[in-house]
Amino acid sequence: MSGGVYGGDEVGAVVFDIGSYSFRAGFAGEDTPKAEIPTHVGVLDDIEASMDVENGGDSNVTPKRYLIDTVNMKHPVKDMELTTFLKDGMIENWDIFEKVMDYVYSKNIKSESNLHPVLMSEAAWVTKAKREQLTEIMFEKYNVPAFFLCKNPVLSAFANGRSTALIVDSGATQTSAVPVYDGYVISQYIVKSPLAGDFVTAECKKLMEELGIEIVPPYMIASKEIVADAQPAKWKKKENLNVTKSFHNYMVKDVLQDFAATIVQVSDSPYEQSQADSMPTVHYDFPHGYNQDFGSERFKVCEGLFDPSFIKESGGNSMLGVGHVVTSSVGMCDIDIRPSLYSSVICVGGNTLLQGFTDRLNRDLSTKTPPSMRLKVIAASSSSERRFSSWIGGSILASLGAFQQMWVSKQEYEEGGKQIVERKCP
Amino acid sequence: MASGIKISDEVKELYSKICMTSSKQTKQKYGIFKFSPDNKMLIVEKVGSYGDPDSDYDSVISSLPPNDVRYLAFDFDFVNKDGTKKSEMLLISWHPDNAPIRQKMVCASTFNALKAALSVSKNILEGDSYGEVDSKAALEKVGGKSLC
Repeated sequence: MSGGVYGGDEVGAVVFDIGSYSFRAGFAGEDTPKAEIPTHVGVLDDIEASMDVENGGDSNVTPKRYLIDTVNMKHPVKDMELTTFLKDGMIENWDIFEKVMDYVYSKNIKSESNLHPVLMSEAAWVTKAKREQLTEIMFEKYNVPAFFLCKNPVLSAFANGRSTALIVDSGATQTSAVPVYDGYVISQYIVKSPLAGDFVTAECKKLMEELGIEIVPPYMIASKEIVADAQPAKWKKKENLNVTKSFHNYMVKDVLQDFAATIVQVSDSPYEQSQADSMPTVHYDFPHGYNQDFGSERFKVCEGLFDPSFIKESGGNSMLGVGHVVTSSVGMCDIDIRPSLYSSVICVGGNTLLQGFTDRLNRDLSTKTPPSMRLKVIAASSSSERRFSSWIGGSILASLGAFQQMWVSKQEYEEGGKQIVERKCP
Repeated sequence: MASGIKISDEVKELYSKICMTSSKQTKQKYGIFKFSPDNKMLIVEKVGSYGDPDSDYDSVISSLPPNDVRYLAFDFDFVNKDGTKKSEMLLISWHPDNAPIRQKMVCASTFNALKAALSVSKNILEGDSYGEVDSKAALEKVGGKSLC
């Protein structure tokens, strides 16, 4: 299956792209990642192992067992806590990160880490210390022959043919606007907002509470019956479920994410009740059997993304809507490069797949951009290209024969130390 | 960040020939550059001279392929705002929507190396549709009034 539609020279490099929702891994030159596994990991106290440790008479720390990947973490396990190794797009918990890497190498890549160069994408705002630590782990622990770190927005810009662009990345935890100029991130003008995918699911949750709809994740359901539209659900709960709060919340979020992906739509223009009422309703079936039509609510729940004053809680106004994130980032940049940024606003990230997202962004920006500037909002038409844009970009780059001279080789690392990453991967 | 793809000497030589403002009659007017099939080198695809048929700017732009990436260096003649004739070098990166994503990636990640090799820092256009790089956009870029 090597090669794929993008073709490729045989370098055998591996590409990792870590997002706040999922971790993408695969071979360079292929058109989609081999694996997409959740960034969340189940953690358990390992009782058997802790017995062994006691026999050995060592340590008072309880060893942990980690449950990684969808099949292992999405079924109920007693006392399993779900946690993530990322914080603000950067690796926070290196232990869990290494566990996930071990898992990916053995189950998805199915090869030895010392045979394949590794290209990894990173958030635009990653600190120097974190990059160096990652470089050290890759060379020392995984013994990779060569390594390269690449900023997400640069890969996304390149994948769209642009070396200068403004990347709007709306993922799970945040929406960011990152100016890329001549292939480099202008890091001091990055603007971030927490209004992103998780915000939409939180709004959906609030809506369900208002409507009195209980969200029952599939793992709790033993049996259910078909009920008529908007009638109370008839279902039986599974016995002996001893799950943690974090697991339950994650599974509830899973249902809400599906709800958002199927039902929610961004209104073309600022939300108006009368207009939203005239839009067609969409039917949704919840996992426990309850079903009903949704009308204006479909538009209401995500309006806050673009118009934070729409959010009920106080403090909502201090957050930036998507359009505002873009204009404030461009507004800080040098006046000479603003036209080229406005002429290539590139939308990436899973949250931009919400129906109507790019149309609304286009509309909001066209009212805010100076008339002398040409505005162009670019979004890949296929969902995989938009969700995996930085992975695909990395996959192509790492598969180029000419790119081999750019890698940080094992030898360079040994001679120059971990600081070399700052020099070779700007 | 760059792709590591080399800019061939013929590209650099052609560019400096186009830049030279000697006698207009014999001089090269534009060059179209493309990537070698193995994506290791940027090479010259086409050279245009003054007096060639279809060597006006918009004809050259519309000859760019709709499904592959190219760079174009063009000696652009125009009438300045004060009515005087002027010419400026334009460097255009062409990466249409229908080009394979692999070529777009190669094109964008090599553009910096090209600019550095030719020491170009102004009059740069990037486009994925003909409207973004046509003579109207070019005039806007160089601050000219009309074509001559």
